[in-house]
Amino acid sequence: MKSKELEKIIKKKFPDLNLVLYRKRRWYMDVPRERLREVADFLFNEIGCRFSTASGVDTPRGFEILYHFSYDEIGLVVSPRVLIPKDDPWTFSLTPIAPCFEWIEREIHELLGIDFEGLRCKEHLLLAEEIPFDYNPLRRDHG
Amino acid sequence: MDRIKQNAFTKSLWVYHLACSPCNNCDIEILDALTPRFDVERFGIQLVGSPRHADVLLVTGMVNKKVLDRLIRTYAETPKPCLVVAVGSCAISGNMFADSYNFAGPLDKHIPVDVYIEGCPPKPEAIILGIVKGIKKIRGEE
Amino acid sequence: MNFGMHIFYFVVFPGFIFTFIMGLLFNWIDRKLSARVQWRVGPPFFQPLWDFLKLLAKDTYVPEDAPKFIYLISPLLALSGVVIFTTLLGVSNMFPLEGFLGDLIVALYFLSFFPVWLIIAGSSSSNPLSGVGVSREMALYFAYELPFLLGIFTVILKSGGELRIGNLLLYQWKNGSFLYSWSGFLAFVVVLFSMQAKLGLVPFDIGEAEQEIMTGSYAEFSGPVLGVWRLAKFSLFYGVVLFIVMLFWSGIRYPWDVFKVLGILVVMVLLRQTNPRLRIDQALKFFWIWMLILGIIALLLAVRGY
Repeated sequence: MKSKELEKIIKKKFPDLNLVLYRKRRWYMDVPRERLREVADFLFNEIGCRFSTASGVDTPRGFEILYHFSYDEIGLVVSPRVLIPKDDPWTFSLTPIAPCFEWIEREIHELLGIDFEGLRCKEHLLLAEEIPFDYNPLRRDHG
Repeated sequence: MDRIKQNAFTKSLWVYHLACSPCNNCDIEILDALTPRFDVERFGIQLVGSPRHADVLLVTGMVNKKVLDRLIRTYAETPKPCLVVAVGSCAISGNMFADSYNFAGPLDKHIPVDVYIEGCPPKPEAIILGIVKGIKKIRGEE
Repeated sequence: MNFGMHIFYFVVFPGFIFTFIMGLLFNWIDRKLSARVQWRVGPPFFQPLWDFLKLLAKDTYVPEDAPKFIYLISPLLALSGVVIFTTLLGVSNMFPLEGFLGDLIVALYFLSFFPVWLIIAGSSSSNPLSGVGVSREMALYFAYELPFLLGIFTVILKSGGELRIGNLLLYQWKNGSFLYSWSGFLAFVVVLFSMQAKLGLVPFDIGEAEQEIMTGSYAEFSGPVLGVWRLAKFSLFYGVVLFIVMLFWSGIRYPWDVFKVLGILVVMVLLRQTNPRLRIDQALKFFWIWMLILGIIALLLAVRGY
């Protein structure tokens, strides 16, 4: 479907989540962490987007995780964005929707220290196995 | 007898490519050195698939904490006598990753290195020159 | 023939030492021809000898969990099977009247030593990748053995039921090579492809894929043990080419028949250089459908007399 149609469908389903058309092919949405699973399920299963990757950032406002869903028919990337407070770093895992979210969540978990509720395997993916779990190199206050 | 052993060893070097998290540029240059343009099979150099068949370990990439254990085990698996060659600046000194959180030290801190080939990445001619220097070192020349 | 002559035939010519030299020579021809096909120069003449000597100079590490006796005895048994095979063929070619009934069957039995001991050695290596190589090698063995036997039956039928290699040669010297007849040619094609698979040459080298499973069954061997394996493999190459020439192309009778051997060698090397590696299911389909059909057609044509 064309991008105008997709915009209408998303705005109709989630009217209170602010959909920003940052550029023609790059859309962002601000999602509170309770509704993350709903939005991801909608984009992945109903619209048929392909999950590309996720980026975790340590910003002054808190931890921000962006999930990049690619709509391949028109070359569009939709990125729901979750903001997590620094003193309460946890969010819901997306692995019940599909197994493809597991590895990127393990990576964010070990490098940024964000806990994913519902993630079954929390072992180290990139860091060495003997490094303790409170060693989070990509946090700004590390080292 | 030793002379025959030395001769046989340097005339037929079997190469194993051991990659400890490189950016793959050094790997591509090693692959280039094995293509028909440079044709190192004239000198008996062959690429083998198992470290147990290898005489030369071409180590590329930065040694990080996760791969350290596997690197030492692979080095122990390789039958001696064996030539260890550090290809690229990342293996020799860590290059731009030297003060990273994952850096476990330059290569010669963990296994004895015989030949250092500098470059980021080194050209195939430089890799061949490094192997030639290694051969000369075994034979005791220069 | 007294006992001394027997020892001479087994150890020197056409037995162990001659097979060893021919194996190294065939390996050099293979590598040089492959290099030329790829626009390269290729290794010098004594390169296979230097490889073997270098392997003798290295250590052998036996894996901790491997049964040591089987691990170390398997290459020796494979090599002995190959040497007995080539000795039998060589002596039958030199003295066609002096074979014993069924020596073709005995030759086929010793031909199967190499794959079977390779499978046993791979299983005893205590390496999971060797296990994968072993399972692929076993599947491939089941695949090519049946069409191969159909090709051999065709030859036996055409000669009127002869089971002595010497009598097969005599039949061909009298009536023309089997290769020059329809059924013989089809049987030759079937046996050629089966032998390509037995040696583990591309396109059927799925059992020892270097890039995928770290050379499969050979993965854990090092030093002199690996040298013996490679020697057995090259000697088998020589033995198999001689077998094909003897069974289909009247063997070695005049000095210029050496070119027949070189011709078959060139065909196998060019097959190796111009084809990609087949997956195990593609190889199975190839042998069980296409080669089986060709073999059955060859057998029926032989029954009808063509």
